[in-house]
Amino acid sequence: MNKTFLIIKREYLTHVRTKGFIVVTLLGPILMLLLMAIPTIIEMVGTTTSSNVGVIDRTERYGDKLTNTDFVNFTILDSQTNEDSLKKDLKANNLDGFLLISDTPTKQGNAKLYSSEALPVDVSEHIEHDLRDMVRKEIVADFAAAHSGVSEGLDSLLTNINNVHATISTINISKEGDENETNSMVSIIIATVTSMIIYIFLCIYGSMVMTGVIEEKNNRIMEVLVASVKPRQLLIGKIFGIVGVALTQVLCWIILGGIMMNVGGQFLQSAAVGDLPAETAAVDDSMAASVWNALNGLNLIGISAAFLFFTFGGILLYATLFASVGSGVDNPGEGQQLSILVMLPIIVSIYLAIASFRDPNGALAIWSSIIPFTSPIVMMARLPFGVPAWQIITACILLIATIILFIWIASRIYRVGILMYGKTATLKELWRWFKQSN
Amino acid sequence: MKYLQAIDVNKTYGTKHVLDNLNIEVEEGSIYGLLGPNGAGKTTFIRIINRITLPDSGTVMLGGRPMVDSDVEHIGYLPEERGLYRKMKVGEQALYLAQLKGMSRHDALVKLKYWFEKFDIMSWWDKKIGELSKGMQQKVQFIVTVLHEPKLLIFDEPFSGFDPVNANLLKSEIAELRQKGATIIFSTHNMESVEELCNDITLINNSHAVLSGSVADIKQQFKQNKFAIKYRTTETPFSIEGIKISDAKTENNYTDAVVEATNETSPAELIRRIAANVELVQFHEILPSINDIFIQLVSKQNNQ
Repeated sequence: MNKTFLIIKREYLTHVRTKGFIVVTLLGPILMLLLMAIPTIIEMVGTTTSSNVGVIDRTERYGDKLTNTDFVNFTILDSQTNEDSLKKDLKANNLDGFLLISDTPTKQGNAKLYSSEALPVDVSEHIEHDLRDMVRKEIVADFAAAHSGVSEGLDSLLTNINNVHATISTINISKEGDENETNSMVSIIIATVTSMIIYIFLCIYGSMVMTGVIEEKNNRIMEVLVASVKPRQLLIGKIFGIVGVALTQVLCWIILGGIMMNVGGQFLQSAAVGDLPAETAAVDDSMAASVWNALNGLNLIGISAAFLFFTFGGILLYATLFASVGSGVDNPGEGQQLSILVMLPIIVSIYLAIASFRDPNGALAIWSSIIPFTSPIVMMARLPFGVPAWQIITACILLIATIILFIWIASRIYRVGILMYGKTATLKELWRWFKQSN
Repeated sequence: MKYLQAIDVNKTYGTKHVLDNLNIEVEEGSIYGLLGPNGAGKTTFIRIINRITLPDSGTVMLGGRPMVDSDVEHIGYLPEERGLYRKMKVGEQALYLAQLKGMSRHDALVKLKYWFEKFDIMSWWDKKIGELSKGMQQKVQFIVTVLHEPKLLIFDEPFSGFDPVNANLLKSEIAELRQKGATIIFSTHNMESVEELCNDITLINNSHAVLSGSVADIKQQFKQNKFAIKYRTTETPFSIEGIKISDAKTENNYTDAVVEATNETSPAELIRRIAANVELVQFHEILPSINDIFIQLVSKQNNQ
């Protein structure tokens, strides 16, 4: 059997059999789903306590028009109540807080909400909403009084204005002239998730390779190994073994995620139809439809293929770099320090990815998605927004070429470094090792 | 027949000349000692034989032809710095390392079974290396080294890491392997084991081979015409013209002493002349130990 394959197999099995790998692979999608569901769960679990709020309205124009809800209950107090004395005995009056309206609440400070303990944000938002409505109505009423004859229909005009929400559907026109409806929210989510996964993988699997190399040096098994196989075989076996582990994890997640989406989706659908009032259901439906349209508009197969390619390529490139760092040090602590050099472009990539959300086709986004060190992460961040084919192809070719170049460079450093003990290599030394003949 | 030949091997690291025109010939089926102080270049030479590194110039011949990469499958190497994967199971690990040496899975399993039964360690198969004691790990390491029945075995400081029990086991196994036809190279500065085991040696110092030959020849070459004698103690100390007597020690009516002929005198002549004076009961030549020769040569050279 081919020796490189033996090394790949050992590396792969060693990592895939660990408890950590199994747990993360199986629980990953569940954890991710939980993360997404947390806001909803909190909302469901969060108990709505009702706050009692006293109202001192010096203007005597607004207080009585505040509406009670299930989370706030207003008690109108005498408009001349002294606020300082009220502050002292909120408890005695069975109040959680009180609202002081000293003048028309259009200026900061004209309306103040006092409370002994912080009131829910909902309460202040509700009050602001009510007051805004009242002030708007007053303005309209004043206008009507000044211009006699136009009072008819002003209320409904106001309601109509308040209900206006502008939404834009963005549509990409592809070369062939097809129209794809996109939803930038869906694109951003896909871009974020895929580029974040690659980012996490580069960090985790990169340092895994480094730890593995350092372990082999520390164990002193290295010399036994290189007496049987070439250091280059060892390096390549190690890197591809790790890539195999990462791809296994991604595939498991895709399969598990797919199953969960299917099951969860059906569950949500039946729940939605059963429980929600017709109006809300309709709103949800149109949102689901637009998400569905957006998903259809995206080239999901293309994105998945690119995701696998850039995961594969990114890990190959960075694992190679991490392996050379590992060969230059003796213990994991020193490795962590030196690995910052390799981590830097990964971290920069994430910032570039975030920047490219704002302007997916700007010069910065285009270049950083083509340059091999940042391309795996940044390209995934741009892809859902549509990227010209030549850029994708260039990025792929450059990435492959860089991987080959760096495997060559790293194997030259590696073969010297793995047999060096007792000191941390400097960059100068790594360079000397690279130049050194066999 | 020469099994391994190094011809004019040179190796430099940076500006440091680690091996300088090294020539070594190892007879097939012999046990060869590679001696030298730390940093002399022994390990570098061994790495060259194992194709871990290549010489800058010069040739290494194996079985009469220049070495190629695949020759490492016929070499068993126990490095000075040795170890195994701590978290990997014993059997799995031995199988993996054997396959890396080019054995088929099936052959490796058969051979492993033989060795594990021989050392009575079958019960360790599914244990992790980290769970074994140091001595147990050494046994596994030894099996891994010899499993593929290499024609050439290289042990770098084999006795330094092994406890006495395992060191003895190692010695007897090495003797057995040699009987089966393996050629064995020892790299060590443990001189006792060299005298006990090796036929031929090369002493490397400061990247040069300073001394080569069979152990017996080298001892002859460095002998100083000293003899140990034992005789019945006389009342007055005796002296003979032209013979220096030193280190006399008397016990139970017998005296031990060292005699040295100050001019060219044959041992037979010496015996005749001493026996004429005292009642001689023992007479034997004092040969220098390899350790003495080693220290003498190395300190002389390094002081220059």
